[in-house]
Amino acid sequence: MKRTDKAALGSFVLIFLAILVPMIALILWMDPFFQYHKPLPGQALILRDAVYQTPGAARNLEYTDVIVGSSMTENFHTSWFDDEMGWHTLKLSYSGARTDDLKAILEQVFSGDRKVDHVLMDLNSYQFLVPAWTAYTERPGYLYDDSCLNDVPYLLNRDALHYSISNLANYLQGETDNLDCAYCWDDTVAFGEEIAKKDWAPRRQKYLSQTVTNKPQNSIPATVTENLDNLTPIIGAHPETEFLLYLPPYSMLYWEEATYSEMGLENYIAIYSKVIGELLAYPNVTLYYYQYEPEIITNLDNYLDSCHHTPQINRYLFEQIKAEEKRLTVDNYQEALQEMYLFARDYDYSRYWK
Amino acid sequence: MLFNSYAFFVFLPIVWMIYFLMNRLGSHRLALLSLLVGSFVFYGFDDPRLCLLLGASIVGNYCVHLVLTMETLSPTARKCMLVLGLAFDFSLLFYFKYLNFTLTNINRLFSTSLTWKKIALPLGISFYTFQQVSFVIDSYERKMPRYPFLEYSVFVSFFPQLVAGPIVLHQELIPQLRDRSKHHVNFSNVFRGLEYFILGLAKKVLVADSFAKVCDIGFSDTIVLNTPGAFLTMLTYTLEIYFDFSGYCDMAIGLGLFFNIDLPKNFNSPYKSLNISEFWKRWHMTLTRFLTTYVYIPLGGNRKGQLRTLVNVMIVFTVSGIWHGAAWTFLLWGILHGLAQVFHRLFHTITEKLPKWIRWLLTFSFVNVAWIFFRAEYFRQPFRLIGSILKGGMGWLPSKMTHALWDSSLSVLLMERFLPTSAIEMVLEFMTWGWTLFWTVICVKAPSTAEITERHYRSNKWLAWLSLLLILSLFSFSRISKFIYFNF
Repeated sequence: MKRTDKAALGSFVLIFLAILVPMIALILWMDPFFQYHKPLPGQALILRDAVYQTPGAARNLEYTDVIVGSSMTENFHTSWFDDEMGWHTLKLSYSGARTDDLKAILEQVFSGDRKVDHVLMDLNSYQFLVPAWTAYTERPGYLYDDSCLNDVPYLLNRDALHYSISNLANYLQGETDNLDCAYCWDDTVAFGEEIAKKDWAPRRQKYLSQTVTNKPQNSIPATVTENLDNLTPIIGAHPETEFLLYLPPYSMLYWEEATYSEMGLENYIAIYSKVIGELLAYPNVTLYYYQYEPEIITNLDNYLDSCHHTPQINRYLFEQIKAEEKRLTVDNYQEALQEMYLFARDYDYSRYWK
Repeated sequence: MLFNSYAFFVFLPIVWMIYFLMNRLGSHRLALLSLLVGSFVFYGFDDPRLCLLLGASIVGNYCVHLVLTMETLSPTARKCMLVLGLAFDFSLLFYFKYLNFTLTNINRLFSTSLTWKKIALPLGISFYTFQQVSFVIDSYERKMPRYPFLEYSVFVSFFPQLVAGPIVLHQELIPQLRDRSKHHVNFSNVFRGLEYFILGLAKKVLVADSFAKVCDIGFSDTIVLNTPGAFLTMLTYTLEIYFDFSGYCDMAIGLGLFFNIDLPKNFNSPYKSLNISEFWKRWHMTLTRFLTTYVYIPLGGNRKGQLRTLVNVMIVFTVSGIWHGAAWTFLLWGILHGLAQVFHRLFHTITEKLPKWIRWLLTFSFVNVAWIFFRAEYFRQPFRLIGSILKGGMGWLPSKMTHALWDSSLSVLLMERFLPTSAIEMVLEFMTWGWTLFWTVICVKAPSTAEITERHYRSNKWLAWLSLLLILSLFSFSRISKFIYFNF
């Protein structure tokens, strides 16, 4: 007997549910974004997509120390900190993180009654020159709150489904997790002087073809204070946590751009001065200054663009942090910045462009 | 609100149930009112201010309709009213769509610095404006009785066709709203509507959006693209816009069927066309109908000699170009299609002697190249992309393009388990070309959605396919992208 349309619709609903429910159940069980539960015993922890996984990982994974920040921090191995400094580290970095992103991540880290010993984080001028409400990429708000009511986009998420299937395969095969070098990108890119210059070269050409008037000295944009306001309340609210902040060694191309830019080198230094000065007022902040590293920053083979350096530099930075080298204090930070300023001002950048 | 959003899946059953409940309770007026309110909620969901614009447009045009359908109005007054009505519609369209473009060009031409605030383009304004332009002209030509306001406003705002067509005529929709036999749930229509909607949704979110990712990468890097990359950029946009618009049209027809409304066909496998005239009889059919009825024929159509006919054709396609967007690239796209039409009219007796496959290839190639102008973000870009295609040479696709298509897909996640990175790159290259070729063949060889729904499949296998497509589509929503045709 030919099926009526009404009966066909009924069958459609049943078949639809028969396929949909197991898919949702798999996501709930594998929970690839760590939203609902701690990982299953023996389940490999795979961090792949920072924007989506960070909030759940911050709430539900076990750690006492955390690395947050931009892509500059992504090539740190957590095992370095665990083995040599006695930390229990989780990396929650993500590419291009603005202060608004850092605030969102730190709020997740400090949600609940978790005790956090250390937060390691990089600081850079880009973070302080954008409006304070800007996120680098749109964050999925439903993963950053406690409500389950708005989780439909997670439970019906194609990537979450793919990750769940992959995680299930990992689980069944007893694979190990990737937490040690989560989000590392060093094996996916090439470094070298010619590669490093590619990004800045067209902008440099543009600067050379026009007359740029630098802003008056010490003209600090309002965004600097606004961005600091994203971070300092959290730092102030957690005196029990030590915030280890560092300024990474950007290549001389970064400083050449600062010199050419409308903002001007003086203002870049003034911005750093303002940021460092404000942060040093907090007793639980330890600041390290690695911008003035002539051997590293003049050798463009260490870079893939103006800023991003090789993983060997990450290892060097780790060792410096471990040895508490180049620590800034209220008394020495102006001097350190002045040293960098003079070096950048007097440097012969033309050697890169012959 | 987008059809491919979670909110729509809550919205649709509510409006549908209230509409048929009101009809069942015997109040068709309340049913229409619920449809009107629902349509305004749909339109203003992301920006409620849009409702004011739509409301003003409807009220303004309805007032013109009231005057034009007065028996005692003198011919001069009627003409004035027609001009006033059209001026109202085109002023709204000009302000929201073309003002900034006009000022930019005046500034360029006369070295002035006229400025006006940046105006966001309201969704679907070109569609509902053209729909109402046809209504005003038909009112002037006394092609209709005086309609009640409620019916008129539902005709304009009916949400399945509001933001991206089809451009429906009053005589197609309003009699269906009145037809009592359509006031009850018809499960046959619901099932067909479901088939249309699911197939359309899958075309949009599973196919068009996948090509959009590749194409966006290509267009963001037109200068440095190698020939394969540039060729793929062109082809993926051709496929993206096809599946985007075809998907939208299918969903619109499907949603209409849920309410027992047959919306006109707007899309009929256009890439099967063997010449450019046929293409325009298959692509955006209701726009072609509008431009033929309200531009081409009033200009004299083909009744005033060959030269005038060709000029009329060029005018129609120039209007079509600028209707699609306020940019010189859209105008150029329209002119290119106009020239192709002129060429076809002049030489069709010769071209028709060519083998079918050559005619198809010529038409498809031309449409591909023309889409580059349509998609371009600035004037030089299409020439750069065409230059990259023509410079020749082989090479691998830029890995950004292949990764845009396949990153975080299940196939890659599983490949990562047993293949080295270099081998994965190679597989992704073949998968990208394979995916593109597969959907090109589907455009040319597969039956249309209308043909599929006419086959009355009701087997469990077919239901499982539909379920799977709907689920896969639902699982793609968290990467929502907008319909290309909303911007026109």
